[in-house]
Order: sequence, then C-alpha cells, then structure tokens
Amino acid sequence: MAENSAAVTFPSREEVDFVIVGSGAAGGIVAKELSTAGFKVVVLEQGPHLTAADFRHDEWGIEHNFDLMWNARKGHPQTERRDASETAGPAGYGLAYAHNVGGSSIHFSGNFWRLRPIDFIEASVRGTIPGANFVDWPITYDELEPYYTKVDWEIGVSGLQGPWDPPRSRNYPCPPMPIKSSDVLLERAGKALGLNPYPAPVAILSAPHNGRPACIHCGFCNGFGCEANAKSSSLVAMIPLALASGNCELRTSCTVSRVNTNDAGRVNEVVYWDAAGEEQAQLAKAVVLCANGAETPRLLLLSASAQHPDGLANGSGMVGKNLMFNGYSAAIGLFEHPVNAYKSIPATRVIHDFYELDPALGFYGGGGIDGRHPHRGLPMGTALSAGLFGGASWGSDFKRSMTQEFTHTAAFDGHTTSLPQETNNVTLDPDVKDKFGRPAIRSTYKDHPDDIATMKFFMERSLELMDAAGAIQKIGFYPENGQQGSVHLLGTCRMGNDPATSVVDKFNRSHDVPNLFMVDGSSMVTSSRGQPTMTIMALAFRAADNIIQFARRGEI
Amino acid sequence: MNKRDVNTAHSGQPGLGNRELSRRQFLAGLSTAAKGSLIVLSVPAILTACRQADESTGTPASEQTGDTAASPQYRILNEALATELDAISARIVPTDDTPGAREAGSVRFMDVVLADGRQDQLATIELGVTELNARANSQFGVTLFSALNEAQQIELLTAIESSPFFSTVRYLTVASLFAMPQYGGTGPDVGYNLIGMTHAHAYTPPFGYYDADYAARGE
Repeated sequence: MAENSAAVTFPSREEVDFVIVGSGAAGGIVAKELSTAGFKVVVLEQGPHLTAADFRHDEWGIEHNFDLMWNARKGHPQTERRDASETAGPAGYGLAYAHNVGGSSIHFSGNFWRLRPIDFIEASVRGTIPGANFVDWPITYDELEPYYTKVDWEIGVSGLQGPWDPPRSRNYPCPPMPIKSSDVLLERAGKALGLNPYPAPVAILSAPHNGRPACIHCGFCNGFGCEANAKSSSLVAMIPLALASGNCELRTSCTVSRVNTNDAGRVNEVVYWDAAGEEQAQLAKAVVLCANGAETPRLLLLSASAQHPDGLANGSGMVGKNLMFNGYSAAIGLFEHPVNAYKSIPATRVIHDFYELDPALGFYGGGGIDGRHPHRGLPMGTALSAGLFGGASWGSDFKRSMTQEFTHTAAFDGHTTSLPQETNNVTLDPDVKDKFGRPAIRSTYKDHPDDIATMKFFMERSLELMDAAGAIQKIGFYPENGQQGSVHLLGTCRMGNDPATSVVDKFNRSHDVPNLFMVDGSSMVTSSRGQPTMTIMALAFRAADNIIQFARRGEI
Repeated sequence: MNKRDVNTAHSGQPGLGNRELSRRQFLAGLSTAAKGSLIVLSVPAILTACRQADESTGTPASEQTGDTAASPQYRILNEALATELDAISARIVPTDDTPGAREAGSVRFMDVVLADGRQDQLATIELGVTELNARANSQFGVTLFSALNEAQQIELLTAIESSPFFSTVRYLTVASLFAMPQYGGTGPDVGYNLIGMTHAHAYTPPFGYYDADYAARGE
C-alpha cells in the first residue's frame, strides 16, 4: 500500500479545476495530463493505492476471493438478465473490473492492438446491420494516431509493425517480447495455412523504458498486478507523474454517489463517501468521469435531478445503452513436448488475417487469434479444470492429467467483435442495493446473432490451426448461448456528432453539460476486435489534450 | 481477469436454477455438466447450488444436521466433520508416491475458507457428509464414510461425483494444494510440484521445447 497518496491537498469547499472520478486506464492518463499542464486536480478512486509490493502469486486470493474486485460478498451485488422481459437475477461474473488505483490496467493481459482505419468507418462501408445500432465513429484513425503513439511511448508498449498494421508515426519503443512455445506452435501452424502471424503488441516492457524494468516472465500476469512494474498500467506509468506535479490530490477509498449541477445546468460538485464512510463533497469547475463503461453510466443515472430527470447528460436517452463486451472463443490442444505456456506473458504472437470477415459469409464480424495457456497459466485453475482430454479429474490418475494439461497444452484464442445494440445496457436495479444504499448495476445483455456466428467462425479457425500445429488431441469452445458478464465494458456513453443519438461529442464532452466529460470505455462507438484498452488510453490522451486547450481558451 | 479463461466462462451453469431437487437427490447430482466439462464452477456458485438443493427439502440444513461445536484445532469444523472431509479429500487427491491432500493440509484450508465469511455454507457441507454416511450405512453397513475401505470409498464417491457437494469438496481439496499457507494449508509447493511447475520467481527463455527448437533453427 502506498504510504501517502496525496502529494498535495485541496480543501473540498474550494473549487478545484477538475475532479476526475476513477484512476484507471483512462483516469490515470487524464490526471497526469491535466495536472502536469498546471491544473488543480482531485482524483476520487474507490479502491486502495496498491503498489508492486502488494502483488503476489496468490491465486486463491486473486481468483477465488476476488481480492482486486468488489462483488456481492463485499456488499456490491450486481444483477443481470438477457432482455427487458426478464426480471434480473444475481449476476454470476457480472460487469467486472479491478477496484484500485490504476483500475483494471493493473490486472489486464496488456494486449495493445490499435484499431485500424476501417474500425472508424465500418458502418458506412458495411451498411446497416439488422438489430444493431452500428454507426461510424465521429473521428478517424488519422485523428487518433498521434495519441496511439503517445500511448506507445508514455505508457510503454513492446511490439513490431506487422504486415497489415495501420500506419504509425513512430516505431514501438520496445522490441517484441520473446516468443513462447505456445506461439511457436501458432506461428508455424499459421504459416502452414498461408496466414501471417506476427509479434503481438503488448503493454509489457521487453526492455527498460521510462525508468521501469523489463518483464521477468514470472507468469502470474493476466488477472494479477505486476510485482516487477514491467506491466504498463496507469498505476506505474501515469499516477506517479500526476502526483509529482504537485497539482494532483489522489483520494483513495472514496466512492462517488452523485454529481451535482447548479441552476445554470453545469456540474459544480461531486459527492462521495470517504474512507471513513463520511459523506464529502468536492467543488469543481469541471468534472471528468473515468469510472468505466459500467460505473460511468450508473453514476450519470444516479445523478438524476429535476433538471435532468432521466439522468445527468442523458438528453439522448443513450446513457447506459449499446453495452459491448467483445466475443471470444478457443481451441485447446495437447502436444507431445513441453509447451510450458504458464511462463512469461499471456500472448506473444497474433494472427490478424481475419480482422474483417468476408461479407459473403452472411454475418458481420472480425477479430484476431493469439496463442496462450488454456488457463492463463494458473496452476490452481488448471488443476480444477483437469479432465479436458478425458483424463481423471480426481483420484490416483488425477495427478497425471493435471500435469499434462498444465505443461503440454496451448490454446489458440479468438478475440472478436460485439455489435452495439440499444437493448444491451446498464441500468439501475429497481430492487437490489449496494452497501451504500445505491441501486445496484443491472446489466441486460444478449449477444447479437452475428457475434455468435463470429465466435463460432473463430473457434473453427483455431481448431484448424491446432491440426496444423500437430496437436495430439484438441477441443474447441465458444459461448454458443451468449455471454453474461464481461471484463470489457464498452459503448455505454457513446461518442458522436449528433446530440440526439450520442452522449459525448468527438472531444468526449457531454452534449448536454459543457463542463462534464466522460472518458473511458463507455465512449467507444464500436467494440474493437477484442482488445480495447489501447484505444481507451489513446482516447484519454486525446480528450485530455482537447480539455487542456478548451480550459486555456476559457471554453469550459 | 480474462473472460477467455475457461475457468470463468461459466455463465448459465446447468442445474443452478433447479429447485426441484429433493433431499434424496441432493447427492445424486444436479447435472453431469460440471464433471469433465470445460466448466469449473466457482466456489460461490457451487455453494449456492448446494444451498438451493438444500432449500428444496423445505427444512433448513441446520435443523437437519444439528450444530456441533468446532474442534479446538479448527475455526469452524467440528471433529466429526473434519474426519469425514479428510477421508473424502484423501480419495480426491490420494497420497501415493507423491504427496496428496493430507500433506497439503486440505481440511485446515477448508476450515479457513469456510470460516472466512462463508459460515452460512457449513450446514450444507454437513448435510452432504450426513448423506454420504447414510449411504455408507445402507450400502455397506458402516456408519461412517471414513470407516470404509478404499475401494468402498471410491465406489461411493464415484456415484456422487457430479453432485454439488462432491464438486465443492473436490474444489476445495484441489485448491488447497496451490493456496498460500495464509489460507490454512501447507501449499502452494505441494501443488506446484505435483503439476510439474518449475517454480521460480522469474524465468528466462527458452520456456518450452518448441521455442528452444525455434531458436535452434533460427526461425
């Protein structure tokens, strides 16, 4: 735990320039950019300020007690359902994210795929899709490219320009991570099938950069905080710079209850419970919500008032709608020799030949395939799942089957698109409350038929790759009945030019409230091909750049 | 977290909503999906399933089994329950030429996990043990599962291996092999050794056979 999060303190009853709600992938960047530009910033983070010393290989704590996440056991239930005709029941996995300084950027897998030019204009190119709210972004790849490059260099990304990668203005700061056996199998199989595998871009350092060390390949990566500070979270890449500016106060264990507005319809105060459970309120000239695609819309809906009866910044009625998860699929193969994919980072090669599926297939979709360990390299998780290839799951033969599945397997995982649908959304549960008495997050989600078809397509390709890789045995799966719950929380305050159909403008500013900005996965108009954080971070750098210019011109 | 991990890709677990189970069916199994499938239920989900099966009997489990004081050496388990859980876990991960559940302190781990905010689940675990002992009695004329011989124990557990009760005990037993000692067991080295993990704090390439070969061939 960091000894003292606050390099500077501001009185809550005097206006600061900005209150930022959330310190994750986006919030950490906005905090660093605004504070180093000279603005007085208060960051409200509901979790603690952990550091590398707090991160251990504690699989039971992380994976089974959910130490980094809130859930029903901790007084934060969620509910879920598939469509509005159902009464939502207790969520299983729910809309999941890490509660700590750095947010989910501390426990993500760090796959940092940029979007491509097509992602921003795909609706125009492909045309409308029945049942989907599929539209173009209000910005282009070229407008975002400088900020992708800023992420590469300021956050820290390792990689190598691939054959079909979008143009970049500067090379990666760090070379690719060393290839793992699981990805040698993928690469050889891909080449045998005429595909183009290439090094996966990752927000994990292959070489020292910006004062941080290179990865030590410890293996407890995806789902875990990095004990070496080699994973490029906002916790290690941005927050220290924000605090060093002398302009940023980071208040941890502070949970925001609502954002208040004045008679002029501008936000002026953020109300929260502090670490002691006392209600506090911070005055601010402007507010930036970086609370993620579940909590940002929830907070806007909780901030309804006489002026904003349907929720703050919700003149369009789109707050909380168009929730997107990304799809997934996998093939798991058993191999003759040790693969040991439990070592090092999750993925070191990716195949992007299926980025845009042929419209002749009859459905929309696209994505990428990378090589991984079937159980994220986790020994406990692997043993619990042992028996995939017909081996014993308990008893005297169990020991052999668990070893085989831990050391001799590889997974070729598909990461795919989700279509935006208004019927997929975040709303306030009418009955269930959290420990603060706030209505619980209720998610309503049903994958679009094209999303399901895309996942199936990717599973089939992965199975072909497994054959080409020489797998002795293989199995494939995808969520054929659709997903419930995810760690990718996207689209719920979508960006657009039309105030009637979008929540924020192309600069992440609320269409309705001129001194309110929403900057996180909620801004995304389309889902990405399954790896959204790079884009969330680029959008955060871009939004901050524009917010600084607006503020300096007196336009907030 | 990774939504792609098969361990957590468990939404819509078959049987979890099934409230028509009778008490007699409690050990007969909610579904066959949990066994040998990609789906490993999380502990909370399994315990919920246990409770639902229990609620379907119409009688609170605590009334069915009675409460017994915890043994001095445990936080929540009583001696009789600990003895049976020890016998079950020793069949799930037996001790042979390598260590098993007993060497990993599985029962002590279960005690800590249940005592840590999951006390309300104890009655359903007790119910499962009570039912298992009843089967031992009806099939073999022995009143305790732990008093059966190994073959008889395996036969009984095989018959209930798709039940939520067995899934829960298996889950806790297997987890105990890999859990940090702070959770009561002796892990995680017991599990790391069993599963073939080179347990170093850091690794360097080559990581496996194929990347060593890749480097040797200059690919």
